[in-house]
Amino acid sequence: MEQETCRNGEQENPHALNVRNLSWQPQALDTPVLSDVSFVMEKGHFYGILGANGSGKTSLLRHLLRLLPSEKAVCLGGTFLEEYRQKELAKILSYVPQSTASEADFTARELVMMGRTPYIGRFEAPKERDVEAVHEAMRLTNCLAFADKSILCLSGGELQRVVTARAVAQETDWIFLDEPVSHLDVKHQVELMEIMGGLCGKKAVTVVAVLHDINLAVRYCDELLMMKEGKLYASGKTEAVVNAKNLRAVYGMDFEEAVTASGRRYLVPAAG
Amino acid sequence: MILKGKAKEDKRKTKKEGNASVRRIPLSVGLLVLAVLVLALLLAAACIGSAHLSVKDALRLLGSRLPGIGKLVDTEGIGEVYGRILFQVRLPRVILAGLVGAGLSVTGAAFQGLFRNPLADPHILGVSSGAALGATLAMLFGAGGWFGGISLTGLAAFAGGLLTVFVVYRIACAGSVVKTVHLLLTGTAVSSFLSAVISFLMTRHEDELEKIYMWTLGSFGAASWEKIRFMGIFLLAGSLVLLALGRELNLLAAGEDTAVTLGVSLRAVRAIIIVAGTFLVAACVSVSGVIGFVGLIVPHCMRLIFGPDHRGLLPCAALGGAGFMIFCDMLARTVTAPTEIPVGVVTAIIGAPYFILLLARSKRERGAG
Repeated sequence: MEQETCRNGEQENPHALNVRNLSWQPQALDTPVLSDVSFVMEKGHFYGILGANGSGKTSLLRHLLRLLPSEKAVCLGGTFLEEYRQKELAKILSYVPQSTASEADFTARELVMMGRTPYIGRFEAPKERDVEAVHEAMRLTNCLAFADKSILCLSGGELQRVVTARAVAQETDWIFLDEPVSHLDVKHQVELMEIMGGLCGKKAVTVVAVLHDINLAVRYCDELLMMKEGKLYASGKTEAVVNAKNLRAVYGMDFEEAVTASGRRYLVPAAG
Repeated sequence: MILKGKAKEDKRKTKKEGNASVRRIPLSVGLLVLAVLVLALLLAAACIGSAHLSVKDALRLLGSRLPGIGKLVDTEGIGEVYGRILFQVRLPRVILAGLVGAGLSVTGAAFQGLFRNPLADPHILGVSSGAALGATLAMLFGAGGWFGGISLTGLAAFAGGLLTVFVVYRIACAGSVVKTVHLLLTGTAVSSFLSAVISFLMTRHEDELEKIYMWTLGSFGAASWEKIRFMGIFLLAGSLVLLALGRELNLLAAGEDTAVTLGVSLRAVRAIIIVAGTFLVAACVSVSGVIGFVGLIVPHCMRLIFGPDHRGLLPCAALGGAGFMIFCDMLARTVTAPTEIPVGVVTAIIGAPYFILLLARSKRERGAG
């Protein structure tokens, strides 16, 4: 099938993200990092990407954000990703990267204000609307207590929340997060996932998060993509995809499943 | 014991709270102070020298050249020779020093932002080694003469600098995914290679050795109004371009991926900053030789004082660099008069201790972090 146009015959949801046969192999490697990955993401859902280290999760995310060239394999809202102008794309997609370390002595508020860049002209000052959006994003992510502190003085967890606030302030339809909770303690992990779940529900934002914690994924994600060795091993509704067979295949180990007192599924790696 | 413990705790608490929010000098105040400082240094440097000129006389002479009020200013009693010293020797030298200082610092600040590397300086992409090789070849082949007020040696340096960075850029940016750090490494490697070529040429032509060596150390001894015009054009154009990209430089500080997802077209921004910075530094080097340290340290000092926002940092760095260079050049030509110390030596001797002091203070203020 030729892939000349983004709309491929049947009528598609104009807000969907459509990935068709995405493959990627850097020149220096003998094996592809991604091979033949295809899926569709609908607006307003919470997607989780699971997989072992090196399975291509982060590479996939970077392609969806156009941080890596995808050669017309990714289609967003009826247009190939390549055809967007960078500034246009910044109003649609936002990103919370894995490594958030920065040497620059900006305050937390200044860092969050960077999220408003796509809406502010080159020589303009932030408008009232921008200041409000920044405040709201910082309130939502619990950052107001250290809003005017230098980011160099923040703990890893605080910085992670500030970076998340920046993506929220960007007011995009899609938020992509690369292991957003790996630097956070349990309380803040749950808080962040609740915030993202809230954005999905109330503001119809689509959240796509690379996650390591299967139980957080089970609790918060509507749908999951499971990556294995650069291929999409399984995808679909969370409750359908998370099962012993898939987990064993993806992580190469057995899992035990329990049900908590409140009736939630809980998965524990089986020892030995 | 309990009391003591509590007191200690309180002390720690207040210290922490004292650090809570970032306090910075407002930009307008900073720019004003720096501008006044630069003007004061300019005037002082124009007066001080082997033939001493009083500030009052200097101001009268300057006033007499101003359009409009020039005729009203009385310059009776000031020797004609002083006028010549001021307008043909001192002012060109002082102004050129200021322009070069500004150019090196503003480029240094932009390159540190672009490469997100505190060790980046204006010479990092090889512009100065290329310029030095160009100048060396011109001297060895005896290319004398002038063109539009710039010596052929200077023009060869300008061309050598541009060519080198072009080559570095082409090497580093081959392939589909370009990492900024490749530029840095390629620039460093090419620089080392060219420096080795210069050293080789110097050992083969010992009669020209001193001339080449002194050129590479940098000097404002041969300043002229033509050089100022040449330098001024590049400084104005280059720094306006860099300043216009101040916001992009801020976003880059948050990480390249983040900058891209916030709307920065990385390839274009990187290319524009490198082209603007390279023309600017090549112009600096071609009128004054290779002056190190200013472009590395002044931006850091300004960042420590005025914060990391490039929209304020770049103009502050330009003014700070101008003032610092005027001051260093003044020392270079007066301390051991009638002989001169190479200005590059002075910049490092004065600048390094001050920078270390500033760094230690900011570290203390920030506590362990």
